[in-house]
Amino acid sequence: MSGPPERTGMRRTVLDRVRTAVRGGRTLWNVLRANPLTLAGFVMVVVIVLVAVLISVGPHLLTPYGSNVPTTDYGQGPSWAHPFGTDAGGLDIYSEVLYALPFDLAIAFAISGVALIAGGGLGLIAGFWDRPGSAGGWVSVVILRVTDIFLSFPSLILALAIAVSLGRGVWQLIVAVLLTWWPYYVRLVRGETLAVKHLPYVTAARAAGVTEGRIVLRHVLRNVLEPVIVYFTLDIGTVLVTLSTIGYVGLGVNYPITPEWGSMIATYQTSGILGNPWTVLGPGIAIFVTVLAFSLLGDGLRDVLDPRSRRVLAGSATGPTSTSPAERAEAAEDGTPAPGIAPVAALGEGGSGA
Amino acid sequence: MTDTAVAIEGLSIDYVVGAGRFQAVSDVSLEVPMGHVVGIVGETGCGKSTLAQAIPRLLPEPPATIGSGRIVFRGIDLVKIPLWKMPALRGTGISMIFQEPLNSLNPAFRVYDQLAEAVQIRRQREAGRRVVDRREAPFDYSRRPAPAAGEVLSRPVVPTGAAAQAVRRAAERRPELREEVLEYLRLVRINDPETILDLFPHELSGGMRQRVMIAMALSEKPALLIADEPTSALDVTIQAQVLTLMKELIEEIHTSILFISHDLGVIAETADELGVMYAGRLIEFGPVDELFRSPRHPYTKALLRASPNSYKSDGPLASIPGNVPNLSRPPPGCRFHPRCPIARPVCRIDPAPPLLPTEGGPSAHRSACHFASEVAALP
Repeated sequence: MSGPPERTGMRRTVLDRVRTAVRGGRTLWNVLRANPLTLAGFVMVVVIVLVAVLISVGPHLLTPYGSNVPTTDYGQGPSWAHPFGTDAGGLDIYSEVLYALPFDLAIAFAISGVALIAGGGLGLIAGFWDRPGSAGGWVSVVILRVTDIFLSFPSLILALAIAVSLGRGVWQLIVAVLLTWWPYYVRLVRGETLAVKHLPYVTAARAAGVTEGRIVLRHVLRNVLEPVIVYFTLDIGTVLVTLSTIGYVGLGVNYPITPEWGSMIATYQTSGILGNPWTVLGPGIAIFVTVLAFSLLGDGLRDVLDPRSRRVLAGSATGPTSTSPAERAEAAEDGTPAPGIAPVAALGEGGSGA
Repeated sequence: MTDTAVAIEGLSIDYVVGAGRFQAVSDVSLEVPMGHVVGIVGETGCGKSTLAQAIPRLLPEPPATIGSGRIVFRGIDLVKIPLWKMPALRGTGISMIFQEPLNSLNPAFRVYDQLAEAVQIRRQREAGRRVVDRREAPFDYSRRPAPAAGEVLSRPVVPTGAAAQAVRRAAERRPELREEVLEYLRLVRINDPETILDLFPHELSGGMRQRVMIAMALSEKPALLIADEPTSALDVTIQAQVLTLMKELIEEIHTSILFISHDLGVIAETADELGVMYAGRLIEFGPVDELFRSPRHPYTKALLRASPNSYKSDGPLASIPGNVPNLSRPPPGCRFHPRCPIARPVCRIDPAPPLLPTEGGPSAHRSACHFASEVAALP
């Protein structure tokens, strides 16, 4: 990149922002292109989110039938009119699966998101102010012990137990999963924070007069974020599976009043599988595809978020990157010296290829 | 104001690790006069980096504990004040350049963000509060409901309200901030600073990163700059560049520097006064020329002899016999006596002699040796 140096004032920053955005878009594209699986995951997630938005904005754009509105076709197999067939009550499975999408996705996002913010915040506090004996140290101990108590139960069993005691319903479901979900984020963020906070650049920031609060929120958080976002993306899939499991054992929402994939499978497994085996297929495929999409995207995000691999993957060298000709030459030379030859000292400046 | 940037008085620092107690720094007294460069040399593990980090209270406490002594900066004893007050003194008061240029810049931020943060910290402190620019008052439609036709064209329509104004002011300040950041990058002689500004630290070479670090420290115009082996990780040629640069900068921005190094050549190049540390003690202190010409402590003498300037011309490189003592159980008496060529019974028993002016030397030249006058006769 060779930026013309005589750009000045406001215009230059606006221009720069546009340029950065374009460069960022191109980088994203290059990263995605480098790994077809990431690209597949990305496209799938975009389509899924788009469909979810369309369904919640205008349901009839994509579905021929309304939610919980029976057709006159009872217990029919998959056909062009009913891609996933209909159940014994005449409900079009395809429409019901699509109606469940915004609901399932929103709950998964909400649970992961709240767990991320709450658990992550606690993890940041517990990780950064952990000096034994100080006030922060005690807070840290309390946070971690409470986390341990929650972690000592298998999360699914605990979620089920809470769901049972709270009763059926959307909010009960969210609370049940959320209560078991946040401790993992505490653990993850605390671990990352502990690793980051002793790095020299945190001390350097401190030496520059940056206050502790700002160090946490700017310097530490930014470097902790990367694995957390990856985990978050993968987690959406896990939450979806957990939600479906709770629905599957009959503790979730009340289908067909509220469409939800897990509850759908549960309902059709008991009532319909003998006569209409295709009824479980639709929600099953929906869960599989959605979870797969977020898993693929999460794996790929690792590469996008790491500034080092980003530049390499993007393949567009800007300025003195790590792949300067000298260093490539250095890498090429990196063969093992022939045996039996006395050690030879290689003397030279950095970048000379010595 | 006094003419001392920082005065360290009888400072002792221990590391408590498990049941062990390492006396990393014991009873060190040192003064950095305003506008001077004071160098500290010593072997690895002699406590010089601990001393450097203790001044802005950057040592992790625990395991480190400041046992006794005072660090007086601007009349404030930094050992006494609570740690949460320290950020206000760091940066603009005491700044630091670290040993590892590779890891001392945050990998997630571009060069601009790192430098801008430092510049902003200084500006806010200079202003005494957040900088508020009132020069361009927005056209307030709430007060004048109908602007004249011409006015709409001549004066920009801007959103009013506190939040919108804050955003706008920040945007107005940005080009100005960018200019100042560029200024500091030019100050440390970085080529094409406009491009460098948008790069991440890992895209820079070691020398450039170190220069960015120096620019960061300087942009806060610190009263005292502590340079902890700033050139140790660099190539010899870049080392020379950085040293020359620092010397020029000392004149451009009036600051006092405490320069830590294990490299005598680097110290000779930069420092006005030099302190020699051994096993946590300051054993000799004096003007750098004087100290190089006539060292008054056997350790300094041996250290000078062991520097590889005269390699090959007169036989193998000289070394000091023995090893640095274990600081959890330092030897009684003078800590150098097990390795000292002129040690006598008194050196083994007598607790370390204080740092005293030597006979026949200038009063600024002080040595902690009972037999300082005999050192000159050593090979």
